[in-house]
Amino acid sequence: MSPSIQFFNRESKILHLIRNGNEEGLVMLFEETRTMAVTYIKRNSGTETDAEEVLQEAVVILWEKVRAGSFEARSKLSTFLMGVIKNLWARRLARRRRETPMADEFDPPAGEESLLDGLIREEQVEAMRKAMSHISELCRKVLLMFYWEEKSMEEIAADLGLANAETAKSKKYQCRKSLETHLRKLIDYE
Amino acid sequence: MNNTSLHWTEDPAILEQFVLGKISPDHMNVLNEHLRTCPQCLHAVEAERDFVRSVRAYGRDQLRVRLREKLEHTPSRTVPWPHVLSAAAIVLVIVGLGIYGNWWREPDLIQSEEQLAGEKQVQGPPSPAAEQGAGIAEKRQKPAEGTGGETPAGKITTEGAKTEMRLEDMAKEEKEAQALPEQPVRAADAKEADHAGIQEGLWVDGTFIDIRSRDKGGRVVAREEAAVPAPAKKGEAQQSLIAAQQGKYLLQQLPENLLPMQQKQLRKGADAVPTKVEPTRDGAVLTAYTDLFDLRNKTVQGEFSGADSLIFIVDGIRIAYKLSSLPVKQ
Repeated sequence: MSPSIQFFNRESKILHLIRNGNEEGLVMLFEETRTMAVTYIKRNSGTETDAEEVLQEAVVILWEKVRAGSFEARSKLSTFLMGVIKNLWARRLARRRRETPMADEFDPPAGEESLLDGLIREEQVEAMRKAMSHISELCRKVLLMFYWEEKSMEEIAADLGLANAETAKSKKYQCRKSLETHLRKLIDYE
Repeated sequence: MNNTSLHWTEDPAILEQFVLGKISPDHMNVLNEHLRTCPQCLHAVEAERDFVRSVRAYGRDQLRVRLREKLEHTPSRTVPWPHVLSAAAIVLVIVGLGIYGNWWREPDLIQSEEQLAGEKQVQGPPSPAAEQGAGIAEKRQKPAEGTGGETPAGKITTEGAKTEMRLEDMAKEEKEAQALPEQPVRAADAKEADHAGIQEGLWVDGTFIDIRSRDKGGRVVAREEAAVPAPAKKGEAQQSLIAAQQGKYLLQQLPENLLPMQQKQLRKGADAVPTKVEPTRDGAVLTAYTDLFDLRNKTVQGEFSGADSLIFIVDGIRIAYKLSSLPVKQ
């Protein structure tokens, strides 16, 4: 029986949940930051829907950072999230301005993705979504844990109940090959 | 790795580690050096980056979908304004009905009135004068309750100005009642009413103790010896004292001319202060009908003295009540 954990505050509970891969932590964080995000985005030419989309992106970024162990809790979670939201919203606004370009605004600023690059990227993501739907659930998990969450083979083996790191490594190889096969089929078909 | 100058990107493990940033900085420099001169390897690195980026984008996408689903099933903590306004309107209506219907009256008082009504039925139809007097006495409870912060907890507070007007109205009604031809109250009825009243804790007699006297200089001072109540019997009184001391007993005052007719006839002597007892959840409110002092719509909290006395001190005057005659908190 695991010991019950007492948290000093709600924030530490949220962080604990995210560290353990429990997505309820994200829901709690979303609900807590929602009002602040909506107020900010509405004040800056956005809508409630914009705010929810940006907030979702922001909590996913936080999730990635916490899961990768690169999140340093130097400020409140809401402060961190609002910082991310402001950056994301500024980028979105810039992209919107480019989508209705003036003659001298066609080229994206340095470091920004061009419209063409964006379209190519969206196509790639769509192809990946389709290919992923053709492989097994276990394969999806192995690949996401390795490439997205950057977990070690030992961690993947432990989390997925595989015999050892070597088994996990072998499984990852098979899964990637399978995914690439489906991706190639999709690209050839299109 | 000795063949880094010869298309290191052909090794999938190194290519993967390079893109995931899992290569030591020194080794990374060597690999980057080769990339500058090898477009084929650069293309392989770009392809691997696209693959990893797409897998990550897929992961984020899926997480967002799951988050959206969870949020749809989580009731939002923010309540829409129309709901807040509806709830506020409902509360206002309930409070309004409550004030209009006098819902927040002391339940004990309501019970006492019901008991009174029951007693009236048992005792048979009272004389018109007595009936009117009792009615006035019941109405008298309301102005006594409306004394603002001085009233016991749980009672309704009404406007002070209205209280004054009601008192005047009641005095007028009292005079009218007195003007009616009085019908003699049978001694047996009076005795029965007295007994029932005391037994039910509705009417008791306070004992007036004047502890004022004049010193040699003619000034009014309190006589300390008079303040000490008579020694009480031990035993049963002790038990009621313990219970009573945990309760709260308040005294309020009304002029003697407002004493109901029925009680006037039952009055025992000049030193007896007819007092109506209204039990509350944690004790009682005693209304003394006397002109010995004027509390001016204020209340005084009682003190327990000796083994069986409840004493109220007002301007050097003490009114004592036997605990055995008061309702004690159960």
